[in-house]
Amino acid sequence: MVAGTVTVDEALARQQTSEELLEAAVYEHSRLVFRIAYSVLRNHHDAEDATQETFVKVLRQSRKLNQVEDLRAWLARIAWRVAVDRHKKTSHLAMDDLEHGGRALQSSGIPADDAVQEKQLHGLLAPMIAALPVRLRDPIVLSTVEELSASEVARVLGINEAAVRSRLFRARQILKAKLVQRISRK
Amino acid sequence: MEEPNQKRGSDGYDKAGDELENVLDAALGGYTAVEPRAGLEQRVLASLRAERIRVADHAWWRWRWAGALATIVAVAVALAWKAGKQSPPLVAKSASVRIQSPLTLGTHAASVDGDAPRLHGHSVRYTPRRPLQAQSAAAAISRLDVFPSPQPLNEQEKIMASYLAEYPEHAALIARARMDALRRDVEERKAISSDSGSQP
Repeated sequence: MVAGTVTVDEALARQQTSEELLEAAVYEHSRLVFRIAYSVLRNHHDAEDATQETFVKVLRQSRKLNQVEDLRAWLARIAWRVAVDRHKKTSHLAMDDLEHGGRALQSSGIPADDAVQEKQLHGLLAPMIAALPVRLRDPIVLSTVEELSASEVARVLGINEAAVRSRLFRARQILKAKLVQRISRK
Repeated sequence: MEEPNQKRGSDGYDKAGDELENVLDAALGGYTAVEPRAGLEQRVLASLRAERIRVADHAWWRWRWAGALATIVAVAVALAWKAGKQSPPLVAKSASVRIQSPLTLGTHAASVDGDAPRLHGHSVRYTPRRPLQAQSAAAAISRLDVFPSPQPLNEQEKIMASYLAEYPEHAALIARARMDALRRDVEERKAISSDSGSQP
Protein backbone atom coordinates (compact mmCIF):
# COMPACT_ATOMS: atom_id res chain seq x y z
CA MET A 1 0.00 0.00 0.00
CA VAL A 2 1.17 3.47 -0.84
CA ALA A 3 1.09 6.01 1.96
CA GLY A 4 -1.93 8.26 1.76
CA THR A 5 -4.06 5.77 -0.17
CA VAL A 6 -7.43 4.62 1.09
CA THR A 7 -8.19 0.96 1.82
CA VAL A 8 -11.23 -0.75 0.35
CA ASP A 9 -12.96 -0.92 3.73
CA GLU A 10 -12.38 2.80 4.30
CA ALA A 11 -13.64 3.58 0.83
CA LEU A 12 -16.75 1.50 1.46
CA ALA A 13 -17.28 3.12 4.86
CA ARG A 14 -17.03 6.59 3.34
CA GLN A 15 -19.39 5.55 0.55
CA GLN A 16 -16.94 6.73 -2.04
CA THR A 17 -17.48 6.44 -5.75
CA SER A 18 -16.80 3.21 -7.56
CA GLU A 19 -13.77 4.86 -9.15
CA GLU A 20 -12.18 5.53 -5.76
CA LEU A 21 -13.18 2.09 -4.57
CA LEU A 22 -11.51 0.52 -7.57
CA GLU A 23 -8.37 2.52 -6.97
CA ALA A 24 -8.29 1.31 -3.37
CA ALA A 25 -8.79 -2.25 -4.60
CA VAL A 26 -5.85 -1.87 -6.98
CA TYR A 27 -3.56 -0.76 -4.17
CA GLU A 28 -4.80 -3.46 -1.82
CA HIS A 29 -5.19 -6.50 -4.03
CA SER A 30 -3.05 -6.09 -7.13
CA ARG A 31 -0.29 -8.27 -5.68
CA LEU A 32 -2.74 -11.05 -4.91
CA VAL A 33 -4.14 -10.80 -8.43
CA PHE A 34 -0.61 -10.87 -9.83
CA ARG A 35 0.31 -13.97 -7.83
CA ILE A 36 -2.84 -15.81 -8.88
CA ALA A 37 -2.10 -14.95 -12.51
CA TYR A 38 1.52 -15.98 -12.07
CA SER A 39 0.53 -19.31 -10.52
CA VAL A 40 -1.23 -20.20 -13.77
CA LEU A 41 0.87 -18.42 -16.39
CA ARG A 42 4.33 -18.86 -14.81
CA ASN A 43 5.60 -15.75 -16.55
CA HIS A 44 6.07 -12.25 -15.18
CA HIS A 45 4.96 -10.37 -18.28
CA ASP A 46 1.90 -12.51 -18.89
CA ALA A 47 0.99 -12.31 -15.21
CA GLU A 48 1.19 -8.52 -15.29
CA ASP A 49 -0.90 -8.35 -18.44
CA ALA A 50 -3.45 -10.64 -16.80
CA THR A 51 -3.46 -8.39 -13.71
CA GLN A 52 -4.24 -5.35 -15.85
CA GLU A 53 -6.92 -7.26 -17.75
CA THR A 54 -8.48 -8.35 -14.47
CA PHE A 55 -8.82 -4.79 -13.23
CA VAL A 56 -10.12 -3.61 -16.62
CA LYS A 57 -12.82 -6.28 -16.30
CA VAL A 58 -13.57 -5.03 -12.81
CA LEU A 59 -13.81 -1.49 -14.19
CA ARG A 60 -16.47 -2.63 -16.66
CA GLN A 61 -18.49 -3.97 -13.73
CA SER A 62 -17.60 -1.14 -11.37
CA ARG A 63 -21.26 -0.38 -10.71
CA LYS A 64 -21.48 -3.70 -8.87
CA LEU A 65 -18.41 -2.94 -6.80
CA ASN A 66 -20.34 -1.52 -3.86
CA GLN A 67 -22.55 -4.60 -3.70
CA VAL A 68 -19.77 -7.20 -3.69
CA GLU A 69 -19.61 -8.93 -0.33
CA ASP A 70 -16.11 -10.35 -0.45
CA LEU A 71 -14.11 -8.18 -2.82
CA ARG A 72 -10.93 -10.19 -2.32
CA ALA A 73 -12.52 -13.52 -3.29
CA TRP A 74 -14.39 -11.84 -6.14
CA LEU A 75 -11.17 -10.38 -7.52
CA ALA A 76 -9.36 -13.69 -7.04
CA ARG A 77 -12.06 -15.46 -9.03
CA ILE A 78 -11.87 -12.96 -11.90
CA ALA A 79 -8.07 -13.13 -11.89
CA TRP A 80 -8.16 -16.91 -12.00
CA ARG A 81 -10.53 -16.95 -14.96
CA VAL A 82 -8.53 -14.34 -16.85
CA ALA A 83 -5.31 -16.26 -16.25
CA VAL A 84 -6.80 -19.61 -17.26
CA ASP A 85 -8.24 -18.06 -20.45
CA ARG A 86 -4.89 -16.52 -21.28
CA HIS A 87 -3.13 -19.79 -20.60
CA LYS A 88 -5.49 -21.59 -23.00
CA LYS A 89 -4.88 -18.97 -25.68
CA THR A 90 -1.13 -18.83 -25.40
CA SER A 91 -0.44 -22.42 -24.26
CA HIS A 92 3.29 -21.90 -24.60
CA LEU A 93 5.83 -23.18 -22.16
CA ALA A 94 6.38 -20.79 -19.33
CA MET A 95 9.70 -19.04 -19.73
CA ASP A 96 10.29 -18.73 -16.01
CA ASP A 97 9.87 -22.46 -15.49
CA LEU A 98 12.18 -23.19 -18.39
CA GLU A 99 14.80 -20.94 -16.85
CA HIS A 100 14.41 -22.66 -13.50
CA GLY A 101 14.44 -26.05 -15.17
CA GLY A 102 17.57 -25.17 -17.12
CA ARG A 103 19.34 -24.07 -14.03
CA ALA A 104 18.17 -27.18 -12.21
CA LEU A 105 19.60 -29.35 -14.96
CA GLN A 106 22.84 -27.42 -15.03
CA SER A 107 23.25 -27.81 -11.30
CA SER A 108 22.17 -31.41 -11.20
CA GLY A 109 25.16 -32.29 -9.10
CA ILE A 110 25.43 -31.66 -5.40
CA PRO A 111 23.74 -28.35 -4.55
CA ALA A 112 26.15 -25.67 -3.42
CA ASP A 113 23.72 -24.01 -1.00
CA ASP A 114 20.08 -23.87 -0.03
CA ALA A 115 19.12 -21.30 -2.62
CA VAL A 116 20.41 -23.46 -5.44
CA GLN A 117 18.74 -26.49 -3.90
CA GLU A 118 15.46 -24.62 -3.73
CA LYS A 119 15.70 -23.56 -7.36
CA GLN A 120 16.55 -27.09 -8.35
CA LEU A 121 13.58 -28.39 -6.43
CA HIS A 122 11.37 -25.75 -7.96
CA GLY A 123 12.58 -26.73 -11.39
CA LEU A 124 11.64 -30.31 -10.63
CA LEU A 125 8.28 -29.48 -9.13
CA ALA A 126 6.87 -27.25 -11.89
CA PRO A 127 6.61 -30.00 -14.54
CA MET A 128 5.23 -32.37 -11.93
CA ILE A 129 2.45 -29.94 -11.08
CA ALA A 130 1.81 -29.32 -14.77
CA ALA A 131 1.42 -33.07 -15.28
CA LEU A 132 -1.33 -33.35 -12.64
CA PRO A 133 -4.94 -33.77 -13.72
CA VAL A 134 -6.74 -30.40 -13.92
CA ARG A 135 -9.08 -31.11 -11.00
CA LEU A 136 -6.08 -31.76 -8.75
CA ARG A 137 -3.78 -29.18 -10.30
CA ASP A 138 -6.11 -26.18 -9.87
CA PRO A 139 -6.47 -26.45 -6.07
CA ILE A 140 -2.79 -27.07 -5.48
CA VAL A 141 -1.74 -24.19 -7.73
CA LEU A 142 -4.11 -21.82 -5.97
CA SER A 143 -3.07 -23.08 -2.55
CA THR A 144 0.50 -22.04 -3.34
CA VAL A 145 -0.68 -18.43 -3.35
CA GLU A 146 0.08 -17.58 0.26
CA GLU A 147 -2.77 -15.17 0.72
CA LEU A 148 -5.49 -17.65 -0.17
CA SER A 149 -7.10 -19.92 2.42
CA ALA A 150 -8.78 -23.23 1.57
CA SER A 151 -12.21 -21.60 1.76
CA GLU A 152 -11.11 -18.86 -0.63
CA VAL A 153 -9.66 -21.44 -3.02
CA ALA A 154 -13.01 -23.19 -2.85
CA ARG A 155 -14.82 -19.97 -3.72
CA VAL A 156 -12.50 -19.25 -6.61
CA LEU A 157 -12.96 -22.73 -8.07
CA GLY A 158 -16.66 -22.88 -7.27
CA ILE A 159 -16.43 -26.08 -5.25
CA ASN A 160 -16.82 -26.78 -1.53
CA GLU A 161 -14.02 -26.58 0.98
CA ALA A 162 -14.03 -30.31 1.73
CA ALA A 163 -13.49 -31.06 -1.94
CA VAL A 164 -10.59 -28.64 -1.99
CA ARG A 165 -8.99 -30.33 1.00
CA SER A 166 -9.39 -33.83 -0.39
CA ARG A 167 -8.04 -32.79 -3.80
CA LEU A 168 -5.10 -31.07 -2.16
CA PHE A 169 -4.34 -34.20 -0.19
CA ARG A 170 -4.42 -36.39 -3.29
CA ALA A 171 -2.32 -33.93 -5.30
CA ARG A 172 0.27 -33.83 -2.54
CA GLN A 173 0.37 -37.63 -2.40
CA ILE A 174 1.06 -37.80 -6.13
CA LEU A 175 3.74 -35.10 -5.93
CA LYS A 176 5.44 -36.82 -3.01
CA ALA A 177 5.47 -40.14 -4.83
CA LYS A 178 7.03 -38.49 -7.87
CA LEU A 179 9.62 -36.71 -5.75
CA VAL A 180 10.57 -40.01 -4.09
CA GLN A 181 10.94 -41.57 -7.52
CA ARG A 182 13.22 -38.76 -8.68
CA ILE A 183 15.31 -38.91 -5.52
CA SER A 184 15.65 -42.72 -5.65
CA ARG A 185 16.80 -42.49 -9.32
CA LYS A 186 19.62 -40.22 -8.29
CA MET B 1 13.57 -57.88 19.88
CA GLU B 2 11.46 -57.24 16.94
CA GLU B 3 9.42 -54.54 18.52
CA PRO B 4 12.18 -51.91 18.89
CA ASN B 5 13.30 -52.58 15.32
CA GLN B 6 9.81 -52.13 14.05
CA LYS B 7 9.47 -48.98 16.08
CA ARG B 8 12.75 -47.71 14.74
CA GLY B 9 11.62 -48.55 11.25
CA SER B 10 8.31 -46.74 11.58
CA ASP B 11 10.07 -43.80 13.19
CA GLY B 12 12.49 -43.72 10.30
CA TYR B 13 9.60 -43.88 7.87
CA ASP B 14 7.79 -41.07 9.69
CA LYS B 15 10.94 -39.01 9.72
CA ALA B 16 11.47 -39.53 6.01
CA GLY B 17 7.80 -38.74 5.41
CA ASP B 18 8.05 -35.58 7.45
CA GLU B 19 11.17 -34.53 5.59
CA LEU B 20 9.42 -35.12 2.30
CA GLU B 21 6.44 -33.10 3.52
CA ASN B 22 8.76 -30.25 4.46
CA VAL B 23 10.53 -30.39 1.13
CA LEU B 24 7.21 -30.34 -0.69
CA ASP B 25 5.90 -27.48 1.43
CA ALA B 26 9.04 -25.49 0.78
CA ALA B 27 8.84 -26.18 -2.93
CA LEU B 28 5.16 -25.29 -3.12
CA GLY B 29 5.77 -22.19 -1.01
CA GLY B 30 8.29 -20.97 -3.50
CA TYR B 31 6.08 -21.85 -6.46
CA THR B 32 4.32 -18.48 -6.49
CA ALA B 33 6.55 -16.54 -4.10
CA VAL B 34 7.27 -13.94 -6.72
CA GLU B 35 7.13 -10.21 -6.45
CA PRO B 36 5.82 -8.12 -9.32
CA ARG B 37 8.05 -5.46 -10.78
CA ALA B 38 7.96 -2.20 -8.85
CA GLY B 39 5.11 0.14 -9.72
CA LEU B 40 2.54 -2.52 -10.61
CA GLU B 41 -0.26 -0.47 -9.02
CA GLN B 42 0.64 2.61 -11.04
CA ARG B 43 0.72 0.63 -14.25
CA VAL B 44 -2.65 -0.93 -13.49
CA LEU B 45 -4.15 2.48 -12.66
CA ALA B 46 -2.69 3.91 -15.88
CA SER B 47 -4.27 1.12 -17.90
CA LEU B 48 -7.57 1.77 -16.11
CA ARG B 49 -7.38 5.47 -17.02
CA ALA B 50 -6.63 4.55 -20.63
CA GLU B 51 -9.58 2.17 -20.64
CA ARG B 52 -11.88 4.89 -19.25
CA ILE B 53 -10.79 7.28 -22.02
CA ARG B 54 -11.25 4.57 -24.62
CA VAL B 55 -14.75 3.77 -23.33
CA ALA B 56 -15.70 7.47 -23.26
CA ASP B 57 -14.39 7.91 -26.80
CA HIS B 58 -16.26 4.82 -27.90
CA ALA B 59 -19.45 6.13 -26.30
CA TRP B 60 -19.00 9.47 -28.09
CA TRP B 61 -18.64 7.70 -31.42
CA ARG B 62 -21.65 5.58 -30.63
CA TRP B 63 -23.72 8.72 -29.97
CA ARG B 64 -22.48 10.28 -33.19
CA TRP B 65 -23.51 7.21 -35.15
CA ALA B 66 -26.85 7.16 -33.40
CA GLY B 67 -27.37 10.85 -34.25
CA ALA B 68 -26.48 10.31 -37.88
CA LEU B 69 -28.77 7.31 -38.06
CA ALA B 70 -31.61 9.25 -36.44
CA THR B 71 -31.15 12.08 -38.96
CA ILE B 72 -31.23 9.65 -41.87
CA VAL B 73 -34.37 8.00 -40.49
CA ALA B 74 -36.03 11.40 -39.95
CA VAL B 75 -35.22 12.52 -43.49
CA ALA B 76 -36.45 9.21 -44.90
CA VAL B 77 -39.70 9.46 -42.91
CA ALA B 78 -40.20 13.08 -44.01
CA LEU B 79 -39.65 12.16 -47.65
CA ALA B 80 -41.98 9.18 -47.39
CA TRP B 81 -44.63 11.33 -45.70
CA LYS B 82 -44.29 14.00 -48.37
CA ALA B 83 -44.54 11.42 -51.13
CA GLY B 84 -47.55 9.78 -49.49
CA LYS B 85 -49.27 13.13 -49.05
CA GLN B 86 -49.36 13.84 -52.79
CA SER B 87 -53.00 13.30 -53.70
CA PRO B 88 -53.74 10.31 -55.84
CA PRO B 89 -55.38 11.05 -59.17
CA LEU B 90 -59.03 11.88 -58.71
CA VAL B 91 -60.01 9.63 -61.59
CA ALA B 92 -59.02 6.53 -59.76
CA LYS B 93 -62.64 5.59 -59.10
CA SER B 94 -63.65 5.88 -62.69
CA ALA B 95 -60.75 3.79 -63.89
CA SER B 96 -62.86 0.65 -63.73
CA VAL B 97 -65.42 2.03 -66.13
CA ARG B 98 -65.31 0.08 -69.31
CA ILE B 99 -66.68 1.41 -72.48
CA GLN B 100 -68.90 -1.03 -74.21
CA SER B 101 -67.53 -1.92 -77.56
CA PRO B 102 -69.78 -1.23 -80.51
CA LEU B 103 -69.41 -4.85 -81.60
CA THR B 104 -71.05 -6.24 -78.48
CA LEU B 105 -73.73 -3.59 -78.63
CA GLY B 106 -74.44 -4.55 -82.25
CA THR B 107 -74.79 -8.22 -81.49
CA HIS B 108 -76.98 -7.46 -78.56
CA ALA B 109 -79.21 -5.25 -80.69
CA ALA B 110 -79.43 -7.89 -83.35
CA SER B 111 -80.51 -10.55 -80.92
CA VAL B 112 -83.18 -8.30 -79.49
CA ASP B 113 -84.47 -6.97 -82.78
CA GLY B 114 -84.17 -10.16 -84.78
CA ASP B 115 -86.52 -13.15 -84.66
CA ALA B 116 -86.86 -14.70 -81.34
CA PRO B 117 -85.70 -18.29 -81.29
CA ARG B 118 -88.50 -20.78 -81.65
CA LEU B 119 -88.70 -24.03 -79.78
CA HIS B 120 -91.18 -26.72 -80.83
CA GLY B 121 -93.24 -24.15 -82.63
CA HIS B 122 -93.70 -21.99 -79.59
CA SER B 123 -92.14 -18.70 -79.46
CA VAL B 124 -89.92 -18.25 -76.50
CA ARG B 125 -90.06 -14.95 -74.88
CA TYR B 126 -86.64 -13.52 -74.89
CA THR B 127 -85.54 -11.62 -71.91
CA PRO B 128 -82.76 -9.37 -73.01
CA ARG B 129 -79.71 -9.78 -70.98
CA ARG B 130 -77.35 -7.01 -70.40
CA PRO B 131 -73.84 -7.95 -71.29
CA LEU B 132 -71.41 -8.37 -68.44
CA GLN B 133 -69.27 -5.45 -69.50
CA ALA B 134 -72.24 -3.16 -69.56
CA GLN B 135 -73.26 -4.35 -66.09
CA SER B 136 -69.85 -3.61 -64.67
CA ALA B 137 -69.82 -0.23 -66.38
CA ALA B 138 -73.18 0.61 -64.89
CA ALA B 139 -72.02 -0.51 -61.48
CA ALA B 140 -68.93 1.59 -61.81
CA ILE B 141 -70.90 4.60 -62.91
CA SER B 142 -73.36 4.19 -60.08
CA ARG B 143 -70.45 4.28 -57.61
CA LEU B 144 -69.22 7.58 -58.87
CA ASP B 145 -69.61 10.33 -56.34
CA VAL B 146 -68.83 13.08 -58.82
CA PHE B 147 -70.67 13.49 -62.02
CA PRO B 148 -69.53 14.04 -64.65
CA SER B 149 -66.52 11.95 -63.76
CA PRO B 150 -63.44 14.13 -63.57
CA GLN B 151 -60.87 13.73 -66.24
CA PRO B 152 -57.28 12.92 -65.36
CA LEU B 153 -55.63 16.09 -64.14
CA ASN B 154 -53.12 17.78 -66.32
CA GLU B 155 -49.70 18.84 -65.07
CA GLN B 156 -50.78 22.32 -64.06
CA GLU B 157 -53.74 20.99 -62.12
CA LYS B 158 -51.58 18.43 -60.41
CA ILE B 159 -49.18 21.18 -59.30
CA MET B 160 -52.11 23.21 -58.02
CA ALA B 161 -53.55 20.20 -56.19
CA SER B 162 -50.22 19.49 -54.49
CA TYR B 163 -49.87 23.16 -53.58
CA LEU B 164 -53.35 23.09 -52.11
CA ALA B 165 -52.52 19.99 -50.12
CA GLU B 166 -49.31 21.48 -48.83
CA TYR B 167 -50.39 25.05 -48.10
CA PRO B 168 -54.18 25.02 -47.62
CA GLU B 169 -54.30 28.44 -45.87
CA HIS B 170 -52.32 30.17 -48.61
CA ALA B 171 -54.45 28.55 -51.26
CA ALA B 172 -57.62 29.69 -49.48
CA LEU B 173 -56.33 33.26 -49.27
CA ILE B 174 -55.34 33.28 -52.92
CA ALA B 175 -58.73 31.84 -53.92
CA ARG B 176 -60.53 34.45 -51.83
CA ALA B 177 -58.50 37.27 -53.38
CA ARG B 178 -59.15 35.87 -56.84
CA MET B 179 -62.89 35.64 -56.14
CA ASP B 180 -62.94 39.22 -54.88
CA ALA B 181 -61.10 40.40 -57.98
CA LEU B 182 -63.57 38.53 -60.21
CA ARG B 183 -66.53 40.00 -58.31
CA ARG B 184 -65.10 43.48 -58.72
CA ASP B 185 -64.62 42.87 -62.45
CA VAL B 186 -68.23 41.75 -62.81
CA GLU B 187 -69.49 44.77 -60.90
CA GLU B 188 -67.37 47.12 -63.00
CA ARG B 189 -68.64 45.54 -66.19
CA LYS B 190 -72.20 45.86 -64.96
CA ALA B 191 -71.60 49.52 -64.07
CA ILE B 192 -70.05 50.23 -67.46
CA SER B 193 -72.89 48.52 -69.31
CA SER B 194 -75.55 50.41 -67.28
CA ASP B 195 -73.73 53.69 -67.95
CA SER B 196 -73.55 53.01 -71.68
CA GLY B 197 -77.28 51.98 -71.72
CA SER B 198 -78.38 55.17 -69.99
CA GLN B 199 -76.38 57.39 -72.34
CA PRO B 200 -78.23 58.40 -75.49
